[in-house]
Amino acid sequence: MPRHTEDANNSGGSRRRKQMKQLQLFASNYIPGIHPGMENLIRWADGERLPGVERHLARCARCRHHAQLLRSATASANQALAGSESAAAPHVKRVFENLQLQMKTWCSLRALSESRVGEPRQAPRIAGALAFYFGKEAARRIEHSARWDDGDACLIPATKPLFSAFLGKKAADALAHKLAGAAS
Amino acid sequence: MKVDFLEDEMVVARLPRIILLTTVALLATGFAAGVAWWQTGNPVWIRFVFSYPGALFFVATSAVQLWLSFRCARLFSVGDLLRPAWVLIALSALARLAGDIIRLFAMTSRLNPLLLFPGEFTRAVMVKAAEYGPLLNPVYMLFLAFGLLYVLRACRQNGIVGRLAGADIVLIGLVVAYTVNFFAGAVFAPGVAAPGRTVQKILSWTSDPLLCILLFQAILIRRSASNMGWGLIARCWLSFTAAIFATSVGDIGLWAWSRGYLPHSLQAASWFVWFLASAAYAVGPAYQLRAMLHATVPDDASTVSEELEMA
Repeated sequence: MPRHTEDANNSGGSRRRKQMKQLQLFASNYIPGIHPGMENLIRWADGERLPGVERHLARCARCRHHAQLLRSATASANQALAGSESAAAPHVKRVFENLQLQMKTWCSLRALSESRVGEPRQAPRIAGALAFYFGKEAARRIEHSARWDDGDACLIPATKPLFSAFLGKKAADALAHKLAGAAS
Repeated sequence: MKVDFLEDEMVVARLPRIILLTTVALLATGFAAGVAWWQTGNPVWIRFVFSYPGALFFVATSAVQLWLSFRCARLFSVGDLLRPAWVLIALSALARLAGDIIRLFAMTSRLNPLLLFPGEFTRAVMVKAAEYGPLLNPVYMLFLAFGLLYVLRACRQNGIVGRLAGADIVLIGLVVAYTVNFFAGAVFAPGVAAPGRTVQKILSWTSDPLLCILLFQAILIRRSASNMGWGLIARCWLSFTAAIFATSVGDIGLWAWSRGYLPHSLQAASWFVWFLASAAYAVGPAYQLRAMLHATVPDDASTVSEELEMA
């Protein structure tokens, strides 16, 4: 497929996805059992004003709990970054970035059925593992949600829950150890 | 130590190919027997295929599925989400294996050890085996359905649950329509007397609704797995989906055959679908076990294994 056609398809897919998210957000205000979704909660935790999410949070204990966890993670990271004299600041920043990446990874896999993405710009070693265990499309998705300059070091903690769920904790630990060893 | 790891993984890695080749050989033999039956009108060859290599194949694939599923379950730690799923899949394989062995006791085949002791008692046991063997079908389906619930939960937690397409809804609709038709004709029909409803009969009726549930789960898992690509884990769940789909086709084929809806040439074809279902049930755990072993293999050994796979 020519690149521009693929891009057009992807932009069409992302527009549809955005419309679906808005519809989901709208429906979450009125229909019990429909939640605004992790992406909207992340946006709300980042400080974006979303009245629909706020209305939903007022009556949904589960989403309120998730949103509070997200907001407290954001707040503590921002606090640590603001106080640059703290020795733990870089570590907290790193943890926060990994948490954000993990969320992005989760969201990127969630959209697997909606559209395909183009070729990744580079292929860290974990991409090979993802393709070997799950498939090339899953690898592409996760790579697209990652920070390229950090490669494996950044992706290992983000993808570990996925490996842990399907391979078990022991195998996921062994795999993460192997990949981390190769990356260092 | 590394060599042990590698050998173990390579044995498991070869299994899907061995099962596939065996299935192809069995289907080719079955096809040749079917042609001989069609040409001569004598069903002896087709009976031979189902009584000897076919019966052995069913028992062997169920045994392989049981062995691999228990190994997968043991490799998961306590608290892992998919550990109960694999325990339930192993129990499902155990029920399938028991059913296949009981069915073997009902066959007039030299593989049946009961035939070594001819007599009234043997005949009575064979009748009971024919009666009770199929009752393990709903048992294995129930275990599998509960196992797949855990898999769907894992997909949902990781945000990879697929969505049903139009074709999926049509397929599920067809199987539900078949089940409703079956119940309307065999259970709720005015002529069917309530006293004739034995426990065995009622248990056997649960197979079709369970198959509807399994097909729905299998299609959802297929959508989730195939969207990821063709990795080992995706292939594992796609194999289970194929097995459940083949079971549905086989079940509908049997019903259509009993009602006389199937043309003569398609009758035998619908029986061969059961070989595909059995093979797919055995292949699924082989991919999962290979993935788990590969993750724990030391790095240089795992590279060797990947290179061997490429070769």
